[in-house]
Amino acid sequence: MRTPRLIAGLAALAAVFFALPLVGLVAETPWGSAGSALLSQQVMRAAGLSVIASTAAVVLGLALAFPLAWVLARAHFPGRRWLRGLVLLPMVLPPVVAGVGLLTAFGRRGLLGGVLEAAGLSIPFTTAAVVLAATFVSAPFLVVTLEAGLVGLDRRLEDAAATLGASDARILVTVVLPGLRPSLAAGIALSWTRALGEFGATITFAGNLRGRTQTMPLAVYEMLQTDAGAAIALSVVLLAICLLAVVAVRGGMFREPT
Amino acid sequence: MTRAGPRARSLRSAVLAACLVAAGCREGDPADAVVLAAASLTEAFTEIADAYERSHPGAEVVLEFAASSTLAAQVRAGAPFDVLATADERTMAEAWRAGRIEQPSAFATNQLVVIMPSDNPAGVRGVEDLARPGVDVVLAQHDVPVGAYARRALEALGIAEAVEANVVSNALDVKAVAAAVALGEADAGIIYASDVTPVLRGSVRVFPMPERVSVRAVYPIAIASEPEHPAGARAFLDLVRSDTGRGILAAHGFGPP
Repeated sequence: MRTPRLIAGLAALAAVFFALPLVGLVAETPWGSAGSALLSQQVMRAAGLSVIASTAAVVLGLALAFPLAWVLARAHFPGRRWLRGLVLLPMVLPPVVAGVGLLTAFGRRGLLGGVLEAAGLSIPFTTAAVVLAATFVSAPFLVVTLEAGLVGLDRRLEDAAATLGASDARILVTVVLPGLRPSLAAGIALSWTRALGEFGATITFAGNLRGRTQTMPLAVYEMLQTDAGAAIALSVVLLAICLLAVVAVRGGMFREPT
Repeated sequence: MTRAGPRARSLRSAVLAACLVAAGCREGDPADAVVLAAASLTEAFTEIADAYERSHPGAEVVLEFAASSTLAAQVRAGAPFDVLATADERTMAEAWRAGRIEQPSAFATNQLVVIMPSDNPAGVRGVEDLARPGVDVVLAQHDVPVGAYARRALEALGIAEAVEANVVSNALDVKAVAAAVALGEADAGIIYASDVTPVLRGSVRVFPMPERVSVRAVYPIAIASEPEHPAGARAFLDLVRSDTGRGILAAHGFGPP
């Protein structure tokens, strides 16, 4: 079916709905006066922390998501649907609920609080809490993309490699991982940007302290109360980063129509 | 006779539910009031709003509670409202400079208190202990009134810098400070006396500030310069300032202006 006019028109309206807030941000940015605010120590530290925490969250997320995606894609066991639901839950959970959940698990009085305290660790209000919060909400994007990638792989290639005497490790590195490259790229970009934008779970579980737990979204919120122009400018920076990441992986996950 | 099929009926109930959620289908009442109030006024203003709705049948008070600095930012950005009540004069002055309120006036005061989890893991015995290394302190962010008041009090005691070094989080409003301590995630925090609700009292210990600290929160209230409901705005403000309103505020730990 060709694209009916009505659908094309509605799609244009939808595009306007998504574009308008972005246009508004750019149009409202007082570039002259906000320039110095963007280079302030608060913003620089928040940006540094955000980049480091999001990257750490993706690395940790990969370690968690790869084995999960594998068993979800290839293992058959009772409760697989429930496991998938559990792993995907953080994608739809209100982030503040995720934050409260993390407190009840890893907080000082949480389920693991005693164990952690015995080990001399206190997680809440630390940079580690920022990373954990970001991992919790962003790793599901890796699970989804990697599981889809694993399901889409041609198993016959792996079988052929095995017949030729390749070890499991060799098959993983030479056949599976190269085949997963597009899904890996998409998953990393999506989870990295999700981690970068995390707010609710972070403020709840990690708090808000400049240089330690104040990420860029928290800095935007704090600045909005005192210097709206600078907050808008910082929002534009965040937006540009996320837009780049999403556009960069477009080819990986969403094929162009032919 | 036509009868609505199940689909039409479910559509109708969905529309009705949407209306109830948006409250957009309810006919407005001139005595309605949209009230923006500091987070510390949550319990007192909820009770005052109940009293208002009892004495103005059919009217509805819409309450929004947040840090005064957040409310001031919303007012500057053009949020519709009838009455604004903040926890300090600085945030009210921002709304004034934006030309969005009539002349404000003080209606209540509040004292600062130090709270700690009831098991007091850090062994805090007074505000001076907040300066001891290793005590995890949560304060409200600097722009939030209680955060500014707390820092003024700490400065008066000469321990502002040492406490600042112990701050593990600058919470977005006073209720978030109370929550962090009540959950046992922080060793101590500074909130208002009025925030020590019966529920909170079950999970925290409370110390008053030393007598020599004279910092006291002053709460101004004002009507919007262009209220959505002029009659409701005036009536709600009058109730807050009446004996009934003062009685409710006093019962929640607020002092007279």
